[in-house]
Amino acid sequence: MTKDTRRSPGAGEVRLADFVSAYAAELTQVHHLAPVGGVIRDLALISDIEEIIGVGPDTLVVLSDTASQGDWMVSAGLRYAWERRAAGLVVPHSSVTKTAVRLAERLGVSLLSTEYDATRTALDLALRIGLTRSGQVARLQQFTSAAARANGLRELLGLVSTEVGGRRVRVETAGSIVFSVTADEVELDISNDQMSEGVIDGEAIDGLVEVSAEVTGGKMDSDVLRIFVSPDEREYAGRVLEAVAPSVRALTAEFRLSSLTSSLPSLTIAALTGSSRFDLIGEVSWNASEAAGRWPLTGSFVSVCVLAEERDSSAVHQVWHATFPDVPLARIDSGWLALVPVRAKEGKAAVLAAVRAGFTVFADLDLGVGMSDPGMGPERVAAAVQEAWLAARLARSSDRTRSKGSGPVLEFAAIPLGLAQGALPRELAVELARAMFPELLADVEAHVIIETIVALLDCRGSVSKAAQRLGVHRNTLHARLRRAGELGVPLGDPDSTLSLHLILTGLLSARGFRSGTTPSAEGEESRTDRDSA
Amino acid sequence: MYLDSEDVRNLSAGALFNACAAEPEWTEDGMRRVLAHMDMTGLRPELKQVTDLDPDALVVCVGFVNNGLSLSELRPVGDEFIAAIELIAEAHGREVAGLIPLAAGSANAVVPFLAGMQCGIPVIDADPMGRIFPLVSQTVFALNSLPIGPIAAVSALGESALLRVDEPARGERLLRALAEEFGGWAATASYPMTADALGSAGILGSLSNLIAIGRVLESSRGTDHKHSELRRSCGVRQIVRARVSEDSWVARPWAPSRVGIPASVVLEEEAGGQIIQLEVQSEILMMLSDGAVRAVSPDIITLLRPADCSVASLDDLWTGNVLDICVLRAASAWYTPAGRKLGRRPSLAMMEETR
Repeated sequence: MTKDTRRSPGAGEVRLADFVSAYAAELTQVHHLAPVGGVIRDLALISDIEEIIGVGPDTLVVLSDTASQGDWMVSAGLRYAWERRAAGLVVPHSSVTKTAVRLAERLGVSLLSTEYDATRTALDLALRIGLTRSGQVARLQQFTSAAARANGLRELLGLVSTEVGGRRVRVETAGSIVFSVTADEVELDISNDQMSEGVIDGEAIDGLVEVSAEVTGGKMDSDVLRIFVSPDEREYAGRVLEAVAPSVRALTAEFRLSSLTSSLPSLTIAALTGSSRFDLIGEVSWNASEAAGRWPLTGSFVSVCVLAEERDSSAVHQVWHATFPDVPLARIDSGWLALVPVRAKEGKAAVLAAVRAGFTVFADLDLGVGMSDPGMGPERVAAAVQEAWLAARLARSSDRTRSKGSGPVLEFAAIPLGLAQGALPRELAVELARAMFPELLADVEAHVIIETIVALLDCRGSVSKAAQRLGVHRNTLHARLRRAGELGVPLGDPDSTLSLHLILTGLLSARGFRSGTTPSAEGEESRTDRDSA
Repeated sequence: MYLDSEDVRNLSAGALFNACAAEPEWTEDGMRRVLAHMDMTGLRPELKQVTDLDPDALVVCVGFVNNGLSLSELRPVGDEFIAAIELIAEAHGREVAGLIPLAAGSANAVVPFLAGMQCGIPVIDADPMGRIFPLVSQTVFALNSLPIGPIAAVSALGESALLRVDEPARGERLLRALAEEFGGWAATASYPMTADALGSAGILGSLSNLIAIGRVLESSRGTDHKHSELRRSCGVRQIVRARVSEDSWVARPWAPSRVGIPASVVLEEEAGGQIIQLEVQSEILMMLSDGAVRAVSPDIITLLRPADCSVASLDDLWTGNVLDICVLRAASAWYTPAGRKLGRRPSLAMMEETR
């Protein structure tokens, strides 16, 4: 595979092979057609061999009789055509020798001959090149019209593939292939408007050149349309890609948004806390393997969560669009979520910097923005969402993040220890505690036991420090902890420690909580169901 | 210095080498005549430097001029140049003190040695071309605006003419016409000048250079050694070994007087397979490799036989034959703008200037 850096496509040009077979067969005889190159941008009639020095690339050179009199002139013409990357050489038929053909083959220069007068031939060829060029423009316009009617990204890329000879068309983001498709794949499964499963990218690209077109140009990574085509197809393929780039941009954003919203997990509190007792409050809807086929990001990503009041939604959207024009923002309960691609060489710092720059204006609003650690693949999304949500919640509830000049933005990896205590909303803590620790809540000493557990966890498991903090003897503390165990509190399970810490801390902060009552976030006191019974 | 028979043979080999594969017969014939005269008279040709002569001494170019075609079967009697030199001496009213060849190649490089022995005049180690050119006006003397005449021309039948002409180009036309009338060639004495003028304008040392080349070619060493010697001490810049291709000869009517003469010969380079093309017009004018010009007149392009490094001619360009193509630069005067203009072949003008 070679990367063609000669020119970007755009100007009108005609492929010599197509041109000869379609338009110039009766005018010229082909002695050798070079397998590569052969794009005609210009035509030159050389009546004095000296003029050939000034011939530019991609020019079809017509040697007149006087410029082809000696064998060496034809040979030199071929050499100059090779050195100057001319499209090909047309010589009088009488000047074609075996040597000339051999040399054309050796140099890879297209050699044609004509029996007609060179001037007439040049004029005819120029006229036909013009006609061909017009036809090509018409072909591109026809394709653009068809592309505009494409129903979805897959169908659009299928049309592109068809236009470039069935080659695989790829959409890449941050250097990673987001999806790729060929015309055949679309044809075989035309009713299914989903991307092919995973990344199918086994196309052999030896001998092909790369053609790409930038789809967008936002602050972050833009999408790139990329195909590998034969060198002869290079120019037209480039024009096709440029023609569909705006449509691909719109459809990619739409695809991403639908993929994101349909694949995001339900943000149950169980998913956020990681509790082993999820079944008590509902299943996690996120299924990584099921989502793999629809997953829109193959590279590294971070989850960004924005928690804000509904009244601020338009402002949030406006800032988001200005910051990440290509990344959809999905609505969730009391906020928004997004999965932002992370460019390998810049890392998450670039995303964090962009988020901070965008949301600094909200420093005085009741808004929190959290960003997760980077991750890859659908299996990582649940954890990333948790992290972003947790960071956003802490950012929203704490003034400490704002005092550091980072605005209402907090990165999960940089959560200060002290902030974790306020992570769980009181109402959720109460709800969870009801479901998970009914026996504890029903106990008359519940408040004391919960205080003891929280103190122990605050002191990172140090009984001495916890006893000192509560002003009780160590034995007393041990007795309360034993009681907690009897009431179903899993103190010995390290996986539950964080959840337990968050829930009980939230429970303690709930107004009106006392032993033997059902706590409520609003401070209403009511008897528990168990007490009523 | 006086030349011995080995020097004469070396001179002949060098003259053939510089002849760009032109016809060898007359060169070899000239060599045999010199050797025969040496045997018969016991004389040896004398080669002097121009500084050995009195600055005012009269020096003249001697050489055959043909009518544009190959030299005919009409062979020289042997006294033609004696008559021509006498005519010049009469015209100037004084004796000729030195001879130089009309060209440093082919038969004309040997001619003054016979004439010199016949007339008792030394040959001066200089010439007006440094190689061979087809026209007598293509000389460094013409570049220096020296007159070509008076010119003495003598035929094999004893007819003679003295052309009182100064302009070299006009002298060229008159001589060609005379040669036609004289049976295809004329023995000429031209460019009479003083030794001082020759020292200023002529290409000096060209004959001893031919002898040096011949000494390398005629030695008993192997071809590789000869090649390295040619490169090291004789100014050879390229040696390309190539085999004459199956589709080798292409004849085209290049000019009215050249109909039927091959214009292009194709060879295949032995090492890399490049397509080598030689453009030929009575001599090798240009060498291309894969369409790129590697040498063009006034470069000297000549052929050697790989087996013994003997000088080959156009007759050796038969299909399948392997030859060594040698390229060396001509005298520097021919690479100046005026020299290129005077020495160029019209058909090669572009290539000469763009290389």
